Amino acid sequence: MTPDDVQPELSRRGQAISHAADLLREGGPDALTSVAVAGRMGITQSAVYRHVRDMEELSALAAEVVVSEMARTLNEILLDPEVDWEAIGDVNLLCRALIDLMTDNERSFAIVDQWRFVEGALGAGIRKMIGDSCDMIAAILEFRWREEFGGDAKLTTKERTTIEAHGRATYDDGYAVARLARSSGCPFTRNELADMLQYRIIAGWSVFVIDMNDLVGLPFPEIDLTEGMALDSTRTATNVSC
Amino acid sequence: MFLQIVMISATQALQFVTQRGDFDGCLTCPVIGGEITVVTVEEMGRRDEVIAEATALLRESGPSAMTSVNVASRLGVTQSAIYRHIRDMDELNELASYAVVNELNSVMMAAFSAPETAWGDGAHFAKFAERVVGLMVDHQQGFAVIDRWRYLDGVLGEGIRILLDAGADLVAGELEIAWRGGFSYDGDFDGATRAAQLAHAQLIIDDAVAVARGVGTGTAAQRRKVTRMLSLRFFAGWCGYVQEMNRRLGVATPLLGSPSLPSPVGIAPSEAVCA
Repeated sequence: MTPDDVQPELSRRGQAISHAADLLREGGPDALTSVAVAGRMGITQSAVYRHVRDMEELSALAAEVVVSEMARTLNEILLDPEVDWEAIGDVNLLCRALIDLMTDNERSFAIVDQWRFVEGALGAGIRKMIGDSCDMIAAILEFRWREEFGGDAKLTTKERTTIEAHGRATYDDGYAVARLARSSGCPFTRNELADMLQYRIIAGWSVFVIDMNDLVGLPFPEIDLTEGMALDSTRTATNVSC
Repeated sequence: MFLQIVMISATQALQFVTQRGDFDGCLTCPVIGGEITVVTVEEMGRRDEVIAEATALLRESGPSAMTSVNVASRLGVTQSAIYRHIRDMDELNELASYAVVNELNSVMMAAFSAPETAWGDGAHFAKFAERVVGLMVDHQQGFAVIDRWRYLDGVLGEGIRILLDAGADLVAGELEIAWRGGFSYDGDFDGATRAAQLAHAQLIIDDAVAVARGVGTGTAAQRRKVTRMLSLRFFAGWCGYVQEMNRRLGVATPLLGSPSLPSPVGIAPSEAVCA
């Protein structure tokens, strides 16, 4: 007796969910119809409803599968023990790790881009995941800023929303680089893309600091945009005094 | 060279959105009882109304909402009545898509048409951001259309992608002028440098589209907030681009806040930075 024989109903239900998830990944919510699921399962349309209550249930379950898969991938990036988010010297390493993940998981990033604004379970799940990631980035920005500029004062609402806005901008910027990386005929190597991402992250961090310091009345930060660059002597930029 | 690129892309974008201009009205003359009837001014007016409603529907609710039932209900007519004015839904879809892309094209042209878009000048970031935020407020749905449908197959998605590419060419041209001026560089760019320049221009546009999501209802307070954010992000985009170019071409990168990289917001560089 195989496990399938033990719980054939559950297995067919599992299959329906898995096919529905495939349809969502490939064509988004519009592609997820009972006819399409039935076609993939090799059964009639009405037979689909022997395994799921209705299409609403199936859509919700399939979206959960797709979103949790992506969340797992993206969390791997954020929680990678190899990467120290607090060490500016590691920015290049971090960026390289991010580019590797973006290139190796093109589809996850494409799914987020493509369906984050749609109505329904898939869009809502993606938006929730994006919200969580943005909160995480905002927390990192806040931690780094407090560490560098001191202060454990309670933040005002305005300061809090400023941090959140920069968290979102940084997140979206990362997605824009991922889009670039998977565009057809992308002419850049992974190292070049990592450098590009790094320039953007450091510049993004700089304007966040300018914004925060201006808000709380701290002086203009001394920021060297070349800090944290890969220690490659042929490419090391020097600073000019002003 | 870059000016040429800018001209070509802008022309392409315009061609794309106006290629329905030569569109043969007779294609869609209503055929009644097998005979072609003369289309009256009134009927052409109705046709325009159908297209206008379909365009609004597409802008607000996207391609999946584009059904004859929805268009008819917006117009307050029966579903079949629509087909007196258009051949079929494919035609209507296409016309509405061109109209939406055309609107976006006007927004983009307006963003770049004013002379103060000089990258590399701190004060100009704020001015540029202010104008773009004005456009974001006036064309919220247009910006949402970019977000939602840029990956779509067909006229709408393709039109959006062509526009974004044309916009990136425009930004790349402006970045190049500002960078060459700011760092006194008149050498040639190789293909990789040029590609990197274009990539930064694309990232800057995507950044602006992302910031546009925060405009909300466009109250004065939100406008100010988003304008500040956008000028900061434009500045970040400029700094990232400068770093890219300087490292590729062996030019020294100045400290943030120095004359080549002035801050776009009120605070001045401290003595410490420029001591």
